[in-house]
Amino acid sequence: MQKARGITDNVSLLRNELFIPSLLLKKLVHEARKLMKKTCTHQPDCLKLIQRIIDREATPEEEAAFLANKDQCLPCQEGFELEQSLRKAIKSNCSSKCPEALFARIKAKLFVVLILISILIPLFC
Amino acid sequence: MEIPTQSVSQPQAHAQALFEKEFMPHLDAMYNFALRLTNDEDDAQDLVQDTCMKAFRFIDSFEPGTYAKAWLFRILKNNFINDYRKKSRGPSKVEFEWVEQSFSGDEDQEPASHADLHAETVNEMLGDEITAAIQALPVDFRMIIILCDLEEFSYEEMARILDIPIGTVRSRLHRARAILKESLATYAKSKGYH
Repeated sequence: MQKARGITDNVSLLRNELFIPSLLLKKLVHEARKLMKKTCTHQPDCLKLIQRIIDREATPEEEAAFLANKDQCLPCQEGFELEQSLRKAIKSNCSSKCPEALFARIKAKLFVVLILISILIPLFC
Repeated sequence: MEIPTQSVSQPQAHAQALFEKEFMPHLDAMYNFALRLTNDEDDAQDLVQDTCMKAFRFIDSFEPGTYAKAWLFRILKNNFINDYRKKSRGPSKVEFEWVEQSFSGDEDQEPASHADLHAETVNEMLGDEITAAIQALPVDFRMIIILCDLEEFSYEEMARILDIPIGTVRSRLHRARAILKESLATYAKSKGYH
């Protein structure tokens, strides 16, 4: 299965591996976008499909069909890049680690519960 | 703290081993989910602790080999709705408060318009701005975005965690993202992002 890539990914690839200068790349991307379809007649459905692709819920056939058309349709290309960016932003900004004190408190509470059970059960059995 | 296994009975020792192996590795994710739901560190810690104690109490109903994280998240979500929802804190940033007010409540309704937001704008935004926009979402939408985008649960797992049909998972997620994009677009415009 071909991995879904946005223009941003391809631009990074060109910049990092082929050492194409950023300014030239920007111009190339700008020109490429000019050739793309400016409106999408199925935009609401495409957006739903884009989200299912990003959520790994689309079938391989759906994903392949979308990827085959994405590079010709500007709204789909931009929609795909936006959804990818949003997910990336959420992943990198909304993570917090459990405080060590909480971890220790849960273990201590569990310890007390287990001891109480081991004392009380023989009394009632 | 090591629990002296010789002092506890065989079933309890088994339950303890199961708890440590299957549940403890998910504490970070549980705490993060609790923090996003309550918007308060102390409430989040209490919620995780209560969830762990409940999970231990009902450990017999957990089937080893099934997805422990989804089981724990379901308990946490129920715990939050029953005990914490009323006192959870509001949005942390004033700029995003309008999101709560503008939400009509009909989650099956299609989003009204497409937000004028671009990937480059999102990439330029500061972490705090993204976090504030998420925190300002109505809690049901915030919940589904965290479960999907951060914890990467499948639609089916989310349906089980949230006790809703899979179709509602899809529509709620779609609407949550639309509101988030609208909110970020309005904010970006007001702050002069390109």
